[in-house]
Amino acid sequence: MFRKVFLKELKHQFTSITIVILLVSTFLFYYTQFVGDLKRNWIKPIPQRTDMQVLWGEKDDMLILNDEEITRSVYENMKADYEHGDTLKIKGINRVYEKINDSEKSVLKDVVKEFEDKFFDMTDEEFDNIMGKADRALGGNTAYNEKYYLLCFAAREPYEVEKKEYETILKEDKITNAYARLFADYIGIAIGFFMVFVTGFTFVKDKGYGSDELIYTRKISSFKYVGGKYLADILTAFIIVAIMAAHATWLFHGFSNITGDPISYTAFFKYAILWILPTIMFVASLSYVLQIIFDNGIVPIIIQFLYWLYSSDIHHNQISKYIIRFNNIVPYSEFQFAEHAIFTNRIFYTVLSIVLLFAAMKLWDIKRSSLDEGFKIRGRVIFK
Amino acid sequence: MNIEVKGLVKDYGGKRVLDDININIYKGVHGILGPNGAGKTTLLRILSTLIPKTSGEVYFDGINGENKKEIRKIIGYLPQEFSFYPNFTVYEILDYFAALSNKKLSKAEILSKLEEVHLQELSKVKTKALSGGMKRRLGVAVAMVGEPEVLILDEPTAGLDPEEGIQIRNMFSEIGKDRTVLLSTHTAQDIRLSCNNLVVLNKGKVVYDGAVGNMITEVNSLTLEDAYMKLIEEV
Repeated sequence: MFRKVFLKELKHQFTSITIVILLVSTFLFYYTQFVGDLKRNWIKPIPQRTDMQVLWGEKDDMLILNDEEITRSVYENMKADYEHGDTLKIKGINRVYEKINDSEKSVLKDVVKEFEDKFFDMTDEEFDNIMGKADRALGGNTAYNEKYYLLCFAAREPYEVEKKEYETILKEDKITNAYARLFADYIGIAIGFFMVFVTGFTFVKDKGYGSDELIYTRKISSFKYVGGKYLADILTAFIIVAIMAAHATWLFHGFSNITGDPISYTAFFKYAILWILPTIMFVASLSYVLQIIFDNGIVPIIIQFLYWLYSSDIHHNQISKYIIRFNNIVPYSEFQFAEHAIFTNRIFYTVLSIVLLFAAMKLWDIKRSSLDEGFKIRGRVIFK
Repeated sequence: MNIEVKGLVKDYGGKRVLDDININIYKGVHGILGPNGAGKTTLLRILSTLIPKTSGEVYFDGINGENKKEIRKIIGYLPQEFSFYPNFTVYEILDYFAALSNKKLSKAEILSKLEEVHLQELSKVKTKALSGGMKRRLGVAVAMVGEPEVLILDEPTAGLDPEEGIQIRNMFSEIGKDRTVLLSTHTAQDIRLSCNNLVVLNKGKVVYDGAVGNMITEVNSLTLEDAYMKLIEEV
């Protein structure tokens, strides 16, 4: 009985439009935020080829850059590429040096000469034209591309500091554990918001389709009916998270192949279970309770949205917030200060989810025996 | 399976919907006849464990109606208005409701049950494509899939065209041979064609309880429809 309810709910979810909404919205969030971060900040720092090291400065809480320094850095790097016979190419989340042929070297030589002829005194438009010419001649997606040059030739910290940080992450986290925490942060926000659209109508649709009375009068226990649907809804959402975790692992597998640095292949899945699954469980349980009480799916969506607003800002993972926030790439030793609060929070929401699930089972049991009569406490109707 | 209803009362928001109902229902097809608002659906919903009674007692072969878990093992219920998940096929619906009724049926058994309601050829059709009559027949199959001893049907012929109505009524006569079937209706024709006994309800009270054939003579009428109208007008 339980298995059949579970399988039918799973089938229903995977043939409904809500699953498409959840899949597309969370994947878009994952791609723009998490993968976007990887492309903006790079995973492994690369040593400078020149003596020029341009660092971002800060003024009035804004990041600033010295234009002349960055122009000279680009010029110095072009000269270095010409001398080494290779150039930095952007491959997804990775940066690799690739050989350049004689004609490409010739274009680089021309571009270097253009810089020198203008004595580095050029308009933004002239600078963009020269960079574009170099990027196109070298086959595109190079460090000279307008999207990438600031990300490649200017850094937040000196190379030595970034290298030391990276090596600590490599040693303590095998890289992916540190990034899995960021992954769990982003996906927790997305799934914490969108999950209610999957679970907010699980029982309301029984009534909406006109099957509620047929179901209520069956032999099946409330435990098996509500539990079967719960497991299916949780699995539906977790499959989506697992797909993204697999994609992230695949991206880092490519990184590992290029750099030769080892990674943990279980990290994204581990943090998906420890950090994201309790969020999924909580949203499902709360929406079950609310929809059974209020007999519609809009109330859980509104309440969940308000709670999501409260829980999704950057916070210290206190017990009152159901989404974990840890928006930093730091080694395990620097994460440890937050570890206790996070795991206390996760245990609390896991237990609370189970309590709410049992409450939903009890409420469903009451509902099936008091159709349209509302919920009563000491004979008084509390909700109808 | 006998159903014994003693002093059953149901109040809704201060209004008495069922007033001191005392009836006994035995094996065979029993009709509950009454105009709209007579309390037919309320009575059937109480018997089906869907709503609580205000007072009185209900027993199914000695099992107290308050023992809802046990009652759900005995009954099959078809509400007046219902539908199914639109993307499920006819086969999947019956398979699903068999599971909800704790019945493990093979593919052949499910097809055989669909054959009983003349839906075997539509087993792969999605329920959203079924006509009203087909949906009603599937509903009967769903209500019967747990092999209940008592079948409770609320206005099973409502909204059907005459041909579909005949098919459904013939089905009840067949089903009622070896179990207790309780069906509500507001048309005397349904009772005349498919029931052995009937209860006439009006304004929440029982105004007749007995054999269908006896009602005409007891009320001194020429037809069942005439007798029914007289009973309704008397209250």
